[in-house]
Amino acid sequence: MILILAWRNIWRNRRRTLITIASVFFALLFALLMRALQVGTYDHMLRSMLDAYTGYIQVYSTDYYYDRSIDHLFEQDEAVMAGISEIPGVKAAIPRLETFALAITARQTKGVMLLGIDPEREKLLSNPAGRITQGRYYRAGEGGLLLAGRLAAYLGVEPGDTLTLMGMGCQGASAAGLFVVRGILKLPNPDLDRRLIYIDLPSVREYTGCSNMLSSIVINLDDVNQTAAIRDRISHMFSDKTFRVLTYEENSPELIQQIDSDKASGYIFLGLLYLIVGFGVFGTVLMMISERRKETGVMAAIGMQRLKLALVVVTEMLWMGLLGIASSYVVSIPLVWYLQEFPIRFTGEMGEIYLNYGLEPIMPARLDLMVNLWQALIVLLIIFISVIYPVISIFKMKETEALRS
Amino acid sequence: MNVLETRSITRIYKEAAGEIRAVDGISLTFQKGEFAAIVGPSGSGKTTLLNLMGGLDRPDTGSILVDAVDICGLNARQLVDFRLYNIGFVFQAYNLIPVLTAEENVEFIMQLQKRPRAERRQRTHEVLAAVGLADRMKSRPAKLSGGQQQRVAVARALASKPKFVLADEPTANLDSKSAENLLEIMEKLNREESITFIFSTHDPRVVARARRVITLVDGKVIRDETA
Repeated sequence: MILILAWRNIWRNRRRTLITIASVFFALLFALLMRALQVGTYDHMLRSMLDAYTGYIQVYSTDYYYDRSIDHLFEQDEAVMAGISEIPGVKAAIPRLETFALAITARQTKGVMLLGIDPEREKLLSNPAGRITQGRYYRAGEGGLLLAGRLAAYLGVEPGDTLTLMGMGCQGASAAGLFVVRGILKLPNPDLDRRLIYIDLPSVREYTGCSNMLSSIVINLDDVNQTAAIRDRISHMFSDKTFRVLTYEENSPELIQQIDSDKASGYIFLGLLYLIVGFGVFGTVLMMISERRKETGVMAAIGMQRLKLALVVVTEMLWMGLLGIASSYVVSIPLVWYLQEFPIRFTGEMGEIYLNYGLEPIMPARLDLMVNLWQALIVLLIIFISVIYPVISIFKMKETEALRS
Repeated sequence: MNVLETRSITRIYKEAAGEIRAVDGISLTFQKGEFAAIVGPSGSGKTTLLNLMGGLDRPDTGSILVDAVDICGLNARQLVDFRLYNIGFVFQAYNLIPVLTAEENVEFIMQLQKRPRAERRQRTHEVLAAVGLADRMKSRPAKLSGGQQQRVAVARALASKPKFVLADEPTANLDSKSAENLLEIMEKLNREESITFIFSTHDPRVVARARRVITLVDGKVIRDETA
C-alpha cells in the first residue's frame, strides 16, 4: 500500500518529479564519471611509478632502512628469493644492490645512483631493455653500464665509451672501476633520468667488494589490491626483525599524500555538488508536504498512523532517488567502461607534460563497483537527511490544524 | 445503548485577545442509530465539538466516552487506532485520496485495519453499491462529480463498520440535487442498518431530515430537540 501510494504520489506533479530525478541523475552521473577518471588516473600514475622503479613491496635490512649505507647490506639467499616468488600473486622477486658513486669522464664528474641489477629478472619490473635508445642491453654473461639519457648527455658518453666510477665499498674500503657503457636508456622519471646508472650485479659486487650482497629485494605483484596481504606473508619469512618489509605506500608516502590531497579536493567538489542536490530534494519534499497538508491530516484523522504517513513520504523520495540512481548507472557504467577500455589520449603540450613525468599521456577511467556503490549510498543518505524535517513535521502535525489548512 | 457520551467537555483556545471557550461544558449522549444534527451560527463551536467527539482534539476538561471507553485517556497512537476502528469521518470537501480510485479509497481504510483482501473487496463492493456507485469503482476522484465524491467519502466512512459517523458540513459543497441524493443515502443506511450519523451543519435540508437537532450558541447547547 505504501509503495503504491508513494509511486502514484510522485507522479501527481510529473514535471517536478522529473526535475528532481534529473538533478539526482546529473549529479550522480557527474560524480561517477569524475571519480572513475580520478581513480583511473591515480591507478595509472601509481602503476607507472611502481612498474618503473619501486615495485609494490620492498625488503631491506632494518639497518639499511634507517641508514642507507653500503655497510648495511644483506646476503642474497636464493632459497628466500624462491620462497617469495612462490607466493601466489607474486609476479617476480627482483634482487638489487643500490649505492652511490662518482661518475668521472675526461670532462665531467657527477654523483650518480648506481643500481645493481640481475639483467634477466629486472626485465620483469622496470624493464630497462625496453627503454634503450642507443646501444643495446646486456647479452648473456656480459657486464657493463646502462646510463640514463640525461645523465649520459651531461657526461657526454656514448655506447662503447668507458666510464670511471669511484665510491665506497664494503667495510670502509674505497671502490673504483672502469666500466664499458653498453647502452643509453630513457627513463620516464626525469629525476632518475638525470642520475641513474644500471650496472649488472656481478660487476657492482666486484666494484664494491660486497660479494653476494643486496640492498633490497623488490617484489612485483599481479594485483595491487593484494599488496598488504602479500607483505604480511613475506614479513613472516623475515620474522627475526633484522629485515623490514614495506609496501609502496609505506615506502613512498609522499606520492600517497599527493594522491590523497588530490582526492580531498575532489571530495570537496563532490560535497558541494551533493549539497546542491540535497537542497533540491529538500525543496521538493517540502513542497510535497506543504501541498498535501490537508490530505495528510485527513489520512491521520481516518486512522493512518504517523509512522506510515512518514513512510509514504520517505518512500516517495526513495522512488525518486532510486530512479535517478538507476538512470545515472544506465548511462555512466557503459561510458566509464568505454573510457577504461579506450582512455582519453592527450596530445600536444599536455601529452608532452605527461611524457616528461614518465607517464603515458592517457587519462583512463576505472570501473569500480565499490565507488559506484558508495556514490549511490551518499545520494540515498542525502535523501534520508532531506526528509528528516518533513518527517518530524508529520509527527508534530495536529489533525485539526491540518484539516483546516 | 450509548455509543457516544460527552461529560461537561470544555475546549478553550488561548488567543491574543483572550480566551475563547469554543466548547463550554457540553454534556451529550448519543444512542445507536441516531440521525442527529448539530446546528448553530458560525463560531458557535460545531466543528470543535465534532473534532472532540471524533478524537481529533482533546477537551481541556471533561471526558468523552465511546462505548464506555474514555478516549481522553488514550495516547496519540492509541487514539489513531481508536478512530480507525470506531469512528467514520465525512468531511466538507470530500477529502478523498486523489491518486486512488473510488474502490481503493474505500478499501484503504480496511487495509489500515489489516483486513483480509477478500473481505476488503466484498465490503468495498457492498458499500459502494449502497451509495449507488457500483459502476464508478475504478474512477479516480478527479473523474467524479462533487456529489459522487462525497458518496465515496460516505462509503469510505462506512467501510470500517464504525460505531458512528461524524459528518462535518457534508452537503456544504454540493448542489441541491446531489445534497438530497446524499442525504437520502445516509438516511437509508441509518434506517436500514442502524448506523449512527452525527452532522454539524448549516444546511436546512439536513436539519429537516435529522431526527434530533442540537443547537449550539457560543459553545453551549441551548436546545436539544428530538423529533
